[in-house]
Amino acid sequence: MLILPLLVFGIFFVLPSTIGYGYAFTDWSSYIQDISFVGIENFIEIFKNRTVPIAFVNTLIFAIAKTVIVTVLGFVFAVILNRKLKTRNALRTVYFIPAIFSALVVGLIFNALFEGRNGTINSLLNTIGLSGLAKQWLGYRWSAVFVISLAELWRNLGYAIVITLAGLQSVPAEYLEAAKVDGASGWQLFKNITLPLIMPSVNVNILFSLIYGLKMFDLVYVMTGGGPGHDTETFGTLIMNEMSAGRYSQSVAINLIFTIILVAAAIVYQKYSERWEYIE
Amino acid sequence: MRRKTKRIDFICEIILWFFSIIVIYPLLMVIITSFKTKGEAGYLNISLPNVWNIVENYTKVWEQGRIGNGFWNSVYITGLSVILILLLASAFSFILVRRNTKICRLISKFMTFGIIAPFAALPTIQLLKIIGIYGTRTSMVFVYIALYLPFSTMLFSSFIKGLPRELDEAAVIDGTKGFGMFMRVVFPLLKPVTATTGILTFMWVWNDFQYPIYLLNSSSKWTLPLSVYNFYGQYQRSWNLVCADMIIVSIPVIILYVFAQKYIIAGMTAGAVKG
Repeated sequence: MLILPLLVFGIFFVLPSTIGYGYAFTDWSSYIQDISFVGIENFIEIFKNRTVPIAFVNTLIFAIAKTVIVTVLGFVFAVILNRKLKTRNALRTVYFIPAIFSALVVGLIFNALFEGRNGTINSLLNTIGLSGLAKQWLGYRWSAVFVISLAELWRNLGYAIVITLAGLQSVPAEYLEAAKVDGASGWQLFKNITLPLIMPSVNVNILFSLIYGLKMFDLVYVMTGGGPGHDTETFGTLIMNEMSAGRYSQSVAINLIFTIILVAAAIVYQKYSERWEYIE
Repeated sequence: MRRKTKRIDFICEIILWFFSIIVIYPLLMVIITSFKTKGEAGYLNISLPNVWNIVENYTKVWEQGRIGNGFWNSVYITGLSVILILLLASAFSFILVRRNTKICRLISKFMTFGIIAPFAALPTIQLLKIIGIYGTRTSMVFVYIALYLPFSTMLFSSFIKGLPRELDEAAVIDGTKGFGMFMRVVFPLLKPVTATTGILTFMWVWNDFQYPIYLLNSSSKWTLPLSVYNFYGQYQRSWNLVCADMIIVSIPVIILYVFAQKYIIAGMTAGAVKG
């Protein structure tokens, strides 16, 4: 039972993710019959390509915006939802709901909300007399990046809340009781006991937001397809779009660069945090 | 003191319900829009329809959206993937945690590569072509197992670490060994983490459309999300139909969520966080 899982993981993930990147050093494309070795030509080509820096910046913006906002808001909402509220369970259910939908559905919902003609947001702006702010949201780079980030936030906040709540609930009540007897104030309790004890959960949130934020693909693909032009492209969509354009070896080369960036980011994070030891 | 806390709780409650509009409004809009005629649906709001068009919309989506076909593909791929992931990940984690040799710890560490590294799109397609299963539903099952095994192993491992060793050692002394011992003694103990992992992987695989878009080329093999995506491409201006389609694709996960909610939260407490 040790061999079988390793075999599947090895063949269907590790193999393409290592040896498979050999294609990055060939001239493989939909126009060529025989594949031949071309060295680092694809990489030189990529660094001349104007789309790659755009994708790089967008990917970073999506990942960082998501990580910061999801972690902070997840924390705030979890702290409030951990209080003895009357409708606590109903509220928890409501705030987790967006997390169960497909990115496809969430993307389409936000397409509807921010639709140019009669979308909810534009109608709202027109009603309250701010029609000057109404616009074709997905038609410009920065407004599109903003709307996609909002959709990503909407979809992921629930997970962050649940993970932080889990951390909050594992804080032993005796610690808090004991400190209260010693006369600690509410803020002191929070700062000196609760906060240090839930840092692991916060770290989990940061790590997963960062990894999945960098891997951002489906929402962008559904909402803008990387457009207008290539303005909202991320690494994820660029790999797809280069492949659709028939430039196979370039797609693989970008995929390889992307892998290296992600692994490097994870190693750096590991150095700064001791919490990378779940499985050990 | 007591009274002050109560008042703060009350204010918190009001604020949270106020913000929940951000969650509720879009969902309500999708539901109501799916009942409207095409013209009315274009106004994307939550006013009730003048003309109720429920039956027409849902029948049209069912026929034009290849729902039946997509549903069975989704059931096949998701069902098989989840069952196999649970079986493999639980046994795998048990061995890794209990043996705890140097190699086992190395394997555990190596699995994190599967969480961090992105999907190698074209190399995977090429591999599947070489094996000769590209474009089949079975190939999706293998790819999903490989993709979600690391995360599931992480959840199972941290749970198993919290189980007292005496339980399975007693079984070894009693003479039950190997896979039989695992299925009869250990697997029942893993029920909570199995439920959580099962629900999470079900939701992720069912909802996913990144991998099918790369790996399923013929429309007869499309999963439900993929058929919705293509339906949207054709009926972009008919929000009533698109919304109906979105609801149909979400029904299974909504049902799952209603019945299995508590496992998601309980399992996250036990698994992902404690480490």
